Parts: sequence; structure tokens; C-alpha cells
Amino acid sequence: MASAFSSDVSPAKQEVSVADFEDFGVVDRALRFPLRALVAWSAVWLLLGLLLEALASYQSTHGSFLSACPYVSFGRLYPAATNALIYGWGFNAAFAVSYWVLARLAGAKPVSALSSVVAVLFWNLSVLVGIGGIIHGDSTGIEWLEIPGYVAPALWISFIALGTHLVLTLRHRAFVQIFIGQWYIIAGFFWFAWVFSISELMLVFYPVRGTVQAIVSAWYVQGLFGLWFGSIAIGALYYFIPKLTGRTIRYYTLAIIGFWSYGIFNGWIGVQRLAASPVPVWVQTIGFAASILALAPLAVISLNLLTTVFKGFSEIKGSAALKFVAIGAILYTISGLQFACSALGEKSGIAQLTFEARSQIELGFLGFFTFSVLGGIYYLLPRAAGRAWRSSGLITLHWLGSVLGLVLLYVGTLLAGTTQSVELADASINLTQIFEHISGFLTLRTAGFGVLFLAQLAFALNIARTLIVIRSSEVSIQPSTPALEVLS
Amino acid sequence: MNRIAVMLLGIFAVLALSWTGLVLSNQRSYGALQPFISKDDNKAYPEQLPGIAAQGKQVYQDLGCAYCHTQEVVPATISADVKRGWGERQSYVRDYIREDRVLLGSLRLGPDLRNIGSRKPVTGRAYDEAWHYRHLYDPTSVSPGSNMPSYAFLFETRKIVGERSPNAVAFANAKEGFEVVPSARAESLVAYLLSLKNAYNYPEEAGKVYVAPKKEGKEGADAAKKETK
Repeated sequence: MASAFSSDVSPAKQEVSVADFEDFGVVDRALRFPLRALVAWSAVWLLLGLLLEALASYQSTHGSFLSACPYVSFGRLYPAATNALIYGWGFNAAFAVSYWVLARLAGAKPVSALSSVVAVLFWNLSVLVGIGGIIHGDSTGIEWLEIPGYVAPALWISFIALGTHLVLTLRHRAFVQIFIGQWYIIAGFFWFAWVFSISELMLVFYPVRGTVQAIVSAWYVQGLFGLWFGSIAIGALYYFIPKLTGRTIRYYTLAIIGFWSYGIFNGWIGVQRLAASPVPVWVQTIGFAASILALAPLAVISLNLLTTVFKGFSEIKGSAALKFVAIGAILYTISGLQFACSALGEKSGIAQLTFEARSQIELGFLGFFTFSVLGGIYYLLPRAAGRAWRSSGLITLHWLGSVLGLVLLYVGTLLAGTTQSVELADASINLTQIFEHISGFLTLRTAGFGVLFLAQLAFALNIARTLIVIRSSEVSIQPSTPALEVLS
Repeated sequence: MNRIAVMLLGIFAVLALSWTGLVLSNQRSYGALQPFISKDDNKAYPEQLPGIAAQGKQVYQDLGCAYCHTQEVVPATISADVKRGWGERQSYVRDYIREDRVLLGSLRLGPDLRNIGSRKPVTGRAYDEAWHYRHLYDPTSVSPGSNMPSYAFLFETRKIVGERSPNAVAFANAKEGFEVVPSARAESLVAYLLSLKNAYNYPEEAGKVYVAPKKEGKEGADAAKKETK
């Protein structure tokens, strides 16, 4: 098995030269079906989500665009877009990277590949029904948790099924030590399972009283982006950065402090988003305080990751995976700093009601998380497919487009947000005037989503070509691939 | 540390901590917060939504109005909301205790709607039913330069047979012999919008105590301080 990989993993040969102690073959073979299914699903959702985001963003500057039909009016298209990105792209990509990292670090294969493919299918069908429900008008009205209540149990069950698979690899692990990457990922699965079920119960099924809903909702948002996506991405970075640079994590002994403080503070900082909202003042104060304290894990994790990245910077040439992973690590630090900064200042509350807050979330999710797991996918897909990426031109296109798109998106959103923050505080400027002042920035935002969409089109095309060629020409070394039927 | 059980216990404790501290503690303290019965008119505030307005809230929710409109008047110390005429006072925790779904919103691309039902006319035109129908049907007809999408799909254009419908939308440029009539969804949505008003100023919040009439918390003092500033 190893020979099938040693020559073909371009463009970065060094990615396989890092000595491992596991039996690659057995682990990889067992991972193939679920990984291909997850990567293919994630790419489809990424494209769909970005396309919908681009359309919705265009609607925010051109009110009449697609407004004649209720199903594609802004108020439904926008949540459909964010939910496709979060529950479609984000979760599938997170599952894929988690599968890889956990199985590799444990030196054990997942319990049953087939049943995890079924769970993946079940998850994706649930997301599809959920987004259909939003388009149809059944949204819960809770931001980032719009998927209707009738789909939530199905989502929960498939998440638990997948998560159980992954955590069970630990029981069969060949090594006693549990590495820091595993810590984050396993914790991420537990945290999300709890945050999701509690939030669904307290918001959708048995709504709590008054603005406690806003507190639960803010707690959920931080659970989703910090404790779930953040943990998975950090776990992936702790695995891929040493792997790709061939260097061990620097100051590794600090990593455990980073882990626990990350977990503790992430539960509390979410309420920072309620700085202007009608909730008890002590809740807002806690949000501010925790946001500042959260600089501690930010510093530790950044120290671990960035110093290792920069030490191994010479390896970055020719390694698409390392490029994405390195950007992911840098964006983790930047988005974390932005989050802490947004707690500062007398009038920070009002910024929470502008595009400024959204720019921070998008930098975290579409920047830090997305780049980190894209790097992971660049590393793992050739191994799951048993051959190299088909086109290096498409990789370059994807890389350049992703960076350019993210810059346009972030700059546009941030400038729109800061303009809004300043002008909303001035009663002499009416809302129509504010809109005129920010519509240029919002167009930049639309362009950012457009460029990101095109870049991911190159990515999806590369995945399709890499996966489908195997099927026609290399049947001899591959078992038949029912996963592919699932994808198409 | 390589013991899974210890690790999982820690992972659980970390989350349980914030859940207890933020969610559970607030759920308990909010329980003490009751509607206030005004001695002036013997009504319990905040008022319950009338049935048709409750239906309208569903329309508001499923059309995603909350993605551009917030429903919270931010304290005057950190915002210009009161100056903008979005409410005579900031929103209190108590204002929301009877809502089964709190739709605070998170982005202000459009104005805040917490008190749209009692908003004072700015340019001489009252924000009444007729204004809302025209605005929903074609926002720029009453609010030039607005980027709000049209909700014409909530209306029906039909031929006038006999007398005009009493609630037809008044348009100067309506086609001859036709009228634009709001659907049941549009009617309930407008009823909901007109029901949005936090006119009553609770003595507790306006005065000193914040959470419950019998309790005096630190947060109560803080809120009161903000209020008197």
C-alpha cells in the first residue's frame, strides 16, 4: 500500500516522508469510503453555500433582485446560505478531517466504514431537508440554528452516530498517548453534541423565558464556532502543521494549558454579542471579562502553532496543504484578536449590531476554519483516493482565488461594519444615507463571495477529476466504490 | 494525561460550568420576573399579542425580517436609538417575558422595529396600516432610496368588480380598473408590526430595582444608574 502513495503525492513529496509509526495501509483502506463521501459532500455544499451567499449579498444592495418569489427572497436565501455553509460544508469537512486525524493518531481504523457512510448520507439528507424547510418558510428564526425543529432529531442522531464511531477509535488505539490534536477533536464532538441538544431543547422545543433565549442563542453560536469548528480546526492544525513541516510543535508542554483554558473561556465569551441587548448587565460584564481572559488560550495556541509554522516555513513551497494550513493558523490569531478587541471601547455594543460582528464570524469560519480544513483535505484526499491530485493548475487557482476572495469579503464587510458603527451613533444620519455610504463596501463583499465561489469551483473540479479517474482506470487496485454512487 | 475517563469528565465540566453560570442562573432569576399590573389602566404589561398579531409574528419570522431589523432599543448611553425615535426608552428584560420566540435580530441594515407600532411620524405621515401596506408592496414609494425588498407577493392584484375593496392599497399609479389587496398574511404581518410598542415604563426598571420587585441585585443598581444618566 505504501508504494501506491510514495510516488504520487504531489506536489509535496515531503508530506509522506515524515516518518510515522502506524500501519498506513490498514488505516487508510478503512477510511477510504467515508473520506471520499465526506469530501465530495463538503465540496458540493461549499459551492452551493457560497453561491447562495453571493446572491443574498447582491440582494442586500439591490433590494428588488429576486424579490418577486418568496422562496428566494433575501430573508430566506440568506439563512439557507449560512446553513448550507455551516451544516453542509463545515460539518462534512470537519468530519473528514477528524476521521483522518483520529484514526492516524490512534493507529486504529474506525469501527465500521459502511455504517459511517450511512451516517454521512443521513446527515446530508437531513441538512438538505432542513434547508428546504428554510426556503419553504419553516425557519426557527434563531440565527445559525434556523433548521426547522422537525429535522433537528435526525441531525442529532447522525451526528451522534458519526461521533461515536470516531471516539471508539480511541478504545482500539495502538498508542497509549493521546496527542493534543486528538484532545481538541474529541472534545469538539462532545461539546457540540451537548451544546446542540441543550440549545434545541431550550430554544426550539421548550423555549425558555424572554431574553434567556438570546443568552442561550449566543452561547450556542460560540459553541458552534468556538467549541466545535474552532476545536476541530485547532486539532487539525496541531496534527497537520508538524506533519507538513516535519517539525515538532514548539513549547508542546504549554499546549495542555491552552486546551483547558480554550474550553473554559469559550463557554463564556459568546455573550459578548449581547453587549447592546436587553439582558442583565452582569451577563454583559462577564462577556467582556471572558473575552479578555480568552487572550490567554489565544496566546498559547498561537505560540504553539505559529512558531512551528515559521520554523518550518521553508517547506511551504510546493505544498498546497501547508499553504492553506499556515494561513489557517495565522487567521486563527487574527480573528481571535479581533474578537477580543470588539469587547473594548465604550460603544462596542452597537458594533455587535453591524457587519463588524459578522466580519469577525466570517473571518473565523470562512478563514481560519475553512483554510485549516482545506489544507487537511489537500493532504488526506490523495491518500484516500490512492492517487495524486489530478491538476496542479487547479490547485494554484484554488489557492489564489481563496485568498483573494477572503480578502475582498473581509475588507468589504469590515469597512461596511465600521462605517455602520460610527454612523448609527449619529442620529442626524438616517438609515438610507448609511446604506448609501456602505453599499460600495457591500458590493466588495458580494465580489468576495463571487471570487470564493469560483475558487471553490476549481477545487470541486479537481476533487471530481481526482476521484472519478480512479474509478475508470485503476479499478485493479481499488475495490468497487459504492461511495461514489452516494455522491453523484 | 492519557486517561480517557478523566479527560471526558473534564470536557464535560468545562461546558457544564458555562451552562450553569450563564443559562441556568438566568433562567432561574428570570422566573422571578412577572408582568406588571399598572394601576392606571389595570392592564398587565407587557401585553399579550392579539391573535392576529401572533400569526403575523410567524410571517415576520419565516420571511426573515430579523436579518435586517433588530427589535431592541439600545440604552441612550451607548447609542442614538432614542434620538432616532426608535423608542422613548431603552428595552428592558421584562419587555420580552411573554414572547415565545424572541426575535432580537443581529444586524441593523434597516431601522429597529421594537416600537414601530407607536412610532411618531417623521415627515408628517403617520406609520399606520395604509403606510405599512404601501411600504411592504413597494418600499421606495414611501421611503425613497430604501434597499428593502418589495413584498408584493403578499398582495393580490385583482380586477375591481363592483365596489373597491375597503382595504385595497392606495396607489396613485394603480392600473385602471384594478386594485391591490393585501393577503391574509400581509394583514397579520401589519397587525404584528402595529402591535410592537413598549410604551409602558415600569416603575421598577425606571426607578431602582432591576430584576424582581423584592430583590435588589447589583445588576439592578447598574441598570438604574444607566437609566438616570
